[in-house]
Parts: sequence; C-alpha cells; structure tokens
Amino acid sequence: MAKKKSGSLSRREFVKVLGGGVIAAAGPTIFVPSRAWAQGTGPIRIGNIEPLSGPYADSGLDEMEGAQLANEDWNAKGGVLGRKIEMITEDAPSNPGIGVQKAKKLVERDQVDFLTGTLTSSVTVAVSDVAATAKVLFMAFGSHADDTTGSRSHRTTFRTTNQNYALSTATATWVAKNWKPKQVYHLTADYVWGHSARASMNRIFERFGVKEAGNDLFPLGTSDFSSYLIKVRGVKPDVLVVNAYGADQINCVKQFKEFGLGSNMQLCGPLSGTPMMKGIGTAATGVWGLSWHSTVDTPGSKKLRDALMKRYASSKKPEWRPSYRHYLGYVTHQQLLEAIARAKSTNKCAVIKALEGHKFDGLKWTQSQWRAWDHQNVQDVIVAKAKRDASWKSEDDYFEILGHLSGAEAYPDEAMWKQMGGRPLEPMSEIGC
Amino acid sequence: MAFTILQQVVNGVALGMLLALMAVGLTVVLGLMRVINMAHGALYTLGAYTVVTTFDRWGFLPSLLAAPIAVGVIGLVLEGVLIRPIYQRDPLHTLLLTFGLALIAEDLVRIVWGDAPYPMSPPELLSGILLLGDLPFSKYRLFVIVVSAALMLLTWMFLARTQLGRTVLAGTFDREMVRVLGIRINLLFTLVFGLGAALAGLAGALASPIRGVFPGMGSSIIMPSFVVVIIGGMGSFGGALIGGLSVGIIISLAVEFFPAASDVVVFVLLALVLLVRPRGLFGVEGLLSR
Repeated sequence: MAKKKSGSLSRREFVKVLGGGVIAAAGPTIFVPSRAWAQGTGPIRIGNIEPLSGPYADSGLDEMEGAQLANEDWNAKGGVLGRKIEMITEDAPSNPGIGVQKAKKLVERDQVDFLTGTLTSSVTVAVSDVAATAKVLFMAFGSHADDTTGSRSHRTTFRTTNQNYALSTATATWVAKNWKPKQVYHLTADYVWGHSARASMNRIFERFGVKEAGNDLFPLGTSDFSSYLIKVRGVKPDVLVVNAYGADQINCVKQFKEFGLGSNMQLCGPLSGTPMMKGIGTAATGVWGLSWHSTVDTPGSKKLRDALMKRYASSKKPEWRPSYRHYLGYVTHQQLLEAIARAKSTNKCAVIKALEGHKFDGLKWTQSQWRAWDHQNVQDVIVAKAKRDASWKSEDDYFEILGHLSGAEAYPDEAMWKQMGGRPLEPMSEIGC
Repeated sequence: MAFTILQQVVNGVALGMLLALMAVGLTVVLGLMRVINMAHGALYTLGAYTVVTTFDRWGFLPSLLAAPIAVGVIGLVLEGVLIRPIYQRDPLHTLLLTFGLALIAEDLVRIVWGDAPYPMSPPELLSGILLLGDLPFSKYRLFVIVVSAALMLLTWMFLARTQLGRTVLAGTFDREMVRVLGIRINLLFTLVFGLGAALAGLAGALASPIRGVFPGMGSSIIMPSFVVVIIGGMGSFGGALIGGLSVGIIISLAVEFFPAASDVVVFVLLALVLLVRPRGLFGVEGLLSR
C-alpha cells in the first residue's frame, strides 16, 4: 500500500537536523591540523559513513542510530580511557566514488581515529581500500558480499554482518531439511552478490540431493518479473529461490503473490529484513536468512531492543521497531569501544590485536567471534518466515523466527574460503605495526 | 508448454498496451508538431506519483482517474508556456528543452517524494489471479489490457471519426495545408500535447502496481516507447498500437526462451525494421525531413 508522504518527509528532515547537529558539533575542531592533538586527551573521533539519501536512506539512518546509542552508552559512563566519543557522520549514497571521497575527507581533514559504517558492498569495498591505504581501522557494518572479507580483505577492515555464504547455507539447510524439495528454481540478480548467493545455496542443495530445475538471471533493477514467474510456473519446481535484494526482491515477491504462485510452490531467499518487508507489505511470504530481528528472544537482544525503543520510538510511527541495521550499528560500535578499552589505547595496531580472535556476546544464542584470518564476525544466522496477516500489529510481526544455524556450521572454513578466492590479510608490518 | 506461451503472450499484451499508450502521445506529437518529446517519460512518472499521493485518501479507481487529468493539465501548461515559443526554431531546440525538462522533473520528484521506491499494490478487487479453465491470469494485468484497449479505441474514434480528430490527422500528414485552410493550428497543438500527456499519465498510473513507483521510472520507459514509435512508424496511430504489442509480446517470449537476450531483443527488432522498412511499419516517408 502507498506509504504516507508526511511520514517520509518528517524522517528526512529529522536526518537533516541530526546531520546538521553533528556537523555543527564537529565544526570548531575541523581545522585542527595536528593528528597528535587527536591522540591526546581530546575526544576519540569516529568517522561514520552511511547512505542517508538515495534508496537505502532508511537503512542508513537505522545504522547511524544504532551506532549513536552505543556511543551514548559509553559517554554516559565517562567515555573510553577517560575520553569522550565523538562521531562524525557523512552521507554517501550507493556510489563508491562518493564513498571514497567521504572516507578521504574524514581521514585527512577531520583526522578521525577510526572509520565505521557503510551499507552496500560496492561502497564498503571502496572505503575498505581507502582505509587500508591510509592505514586506518575500518569497521564495516553492512555489505554481505563474500569478497569483503574474501578476495578484497584487508588487515585494517572488520565486517560485522553475516556474509552471503553463511546466510545461504543457513537458509538452504532449513529449506532442504523441512520442505524436502525435489527441485528448486533460481531467479538471480545478475551481479556478483546474486551469483555467489545461488552458488552457495546450490552447494547445500546438492548435499541433500535437491536438483536445480533452472536458473534465470535478471538485470539489476528489474521491475516487471511477470514473464519470469510465468515461466517458473510452467516448470513447476517445488521451491523458487529469490537471489535478490532491495527493490528487486520487493517487486519479485509482490508479483509472486500477484500470479498466485504461492499455491503451487514455496519461496525462499538468502537475505531479507525489515526494510524489504516494508515495501512488500501484504504480499509478504517466504523463508529468508536474517542477521537479526527485533523479536530475537535472548536477554541481550531484548535489552538492546528496549534501549533502542526508549531512545528512538518517540520520533517514529507507533508500529516502528528497531531493524537489524540498528543491531549492526550498535554491536559494531560497542565492539570497537570495548576493544579500545581492552587495548588501553586508540592505536590501531593495539585495537586490531584486541579484536582478532576475540569472542563476545553478539546478543544471539551462541558466542560470536572476530575471526583472526579474515576479520569476519562469525555468528549465528537466523532463518525466519515472512508473514503479514490480520494479526500483524507492529514491525515485530514481519518475521517469525524458525531457527538458527551457529556460525561454526554456517561459515566457510579456511580451505573453502581460499577456494572462494580468499586473500590472506596483509602482515601487520605492512600497515605500520 | 503451449499454455505457458499463451500466458506469456497475454502478459506481453499487458506490457504492450502500456507501451502503446505511451507511444500514441509521442507519435502524434511528433507527427503533428515535429516535437521529439523527451519529457514524455517524466509525465508517465508524474502519473504514477499522482496515484501514490491520492491513493490513501481516494482509493484506487478515483486516483486512476485523477492521474490523466492532473498530468493532462501539466501537459497543456508545458506546451503553452515553454514549448510554443520555440516552434519556429530548429526541432533540435525542442528536443533539448524537453530533455532538460525531463531531468528537472526527475529531480523535483526526488525532492517532493524522496528517492525511495513507493510500495504500490493493485486494489483488493483486482489482486490475485483469474482462472480461465486451468490457466491462471493476473487479474490486474487483464484489467490493464481492458482499460488501455478501451482508451486506445476512444482515442482512435476521436482521431478518425470527429471533425477535430480528422483535422489533427490531416495535420500530421501536411500541416501547411491545414493552416492554409484557415484552421488555428496552434490550438490543435495545445490540445494534442495535453491529450498525449494525459495518456502518458494514465500509463504511469496503470503501471504503478506492476513496475513500481520510483523517480527514475520515466527514463526506464522512454527508451522502449521511442523504439515502439520507430517500429510502428512515426506519426502513425496504428503503428503505435501494433509496435507496442509486438515489443511487449517479444519481450515476454524472450524471457521464456532466451532470458539472457531479453534486454537486447527489442533492439534487434528495431534494427530489422529499420533495415527492411526504414519508415517503420505504418510510417510516412521522410516525416522529419519535411
């Protein structure tokens, strides 16, 4: 159904006010030239890059809010190492060029100690390269592409969210075990992420003897899936796998409902989340891989959910709930600040050492870990069913959590990682440690 | 298999009718006024956003009515204020003007409605499928076919059966002669431009639950619409209809048989038509050179 215009406008203005405030706060210190000053007793400065305009603006705002909450928690306790935390957020819509420009600005002009944020894989990988060249630690919130901690990995980059391989493995395992399909059909977005999602799903399906009945690649940004869906109906697979994200996923699932395919076959996909379900609306269906949802029932997640509700719900619609993008922003900043406290230093070498191999409570069921050899956050992957019926009351109800696969089971081991093109991290000496 | 092909064809007809609605406005404006209207896609976008804006308050059908009216009025103003003063100049100037208008319109849409795509679904009554025998068809797409066919018929009756419409058609063949006969051709121009705009607005409104509502939707439809105009023949109403249908059906069938070529197949058709019959299927020879 059509979204209310007034809602989106007020949210946009909210971002502007927020962004303006951050810039105003940073204003007086922008032209301080010496890095030595920043490393002294002044605030710890974190440069945060988010898409605050463009198609992912909503998700970018969520990530920023999550990060902000973690900063505020620490500042309320007197900061880290006796220093306050200051975050400068820059808007970089899904354009790697702008991402690079903003990352350079944060590092060179604002002299930030750390970089965080980003959402799309293209911007993440570009910012990751800038951080490696500048020898600055970069904690990526988003980007599900395997390459981010694989063929494009860097010693200076850590990634919080689940990688594609793990999401696909968890979803395909659940589907194969519970639906026991004989054959599946893929609709795959024709770019790196889509291809790798399909390959990862098939790897699991083959293990369970599930055949691939067919695969159609569609161009990124396809709005009309009708012809593909009619074709799929003719093939009669047991399951349709939608390897698509964002608007593509929204259109595909809506038209799946329009053509009434739900009575002929099941639908699944490696990755979804609240932002997509907002667009899909009443057509919601399928089983999806998730990194987090507001209904995760662990004590840690409940606490985070309550804190986010308390902090932000008053500025949102009544049905609003924190999204997994809030979770990513919060957990990343929490982890970064904890690592600084453990290392007793903001020196990147010390912080990287404090993070590598560190096990922590990722607010899910089993422990999470920053894997030392690829800097991936190895964690539980959630498998959930999307639904939207008369009982829908709030964004909590977008998904019903079906189960989870532990990081140990879902993630590629070192041999598989190498086979997928994983590139060993640079030695510490190369980044000046 | 035969059933799947039949479904693909019906699906292609729905897409083709939308393209035909777009192409009629383009081709008549081109034929009568020699204006290559690059802003036609922006009018389509505005039609969809009209629906998005009025949907919550008025419901779907009234919004569907509001879109062509609102966009038609915008068309009348555009023609009267911006395009009319430069008719006497090179056709390239109107091309540049309308191209600029298209860019400005897209950014205005971004400012007013934001960058994010709007979720838009068919109304309850038209969602889901209709079973004809064993064959399922999307109710909404059948609705699109019926509505656009009715509108194409009305437009054709206006052009072929009314005094005013015949004058318009005569103008596309020889506007000097129409002017010599003492007809106020400027008034005709405004009317035809407004009509074309209204059809584009309606196409955008009809397409909104199928193709999604986003700021760049106009630039994604303008290219295939021009291809339809060229295949059908510039200035020809029948050409726009036949061209639209053939492009829609070919895209649908390409997905069934050669999905990798579904992007390219339209341009292959275009190249073939240009090689065999450069004026297009029903076009008038040398239209732009006169």
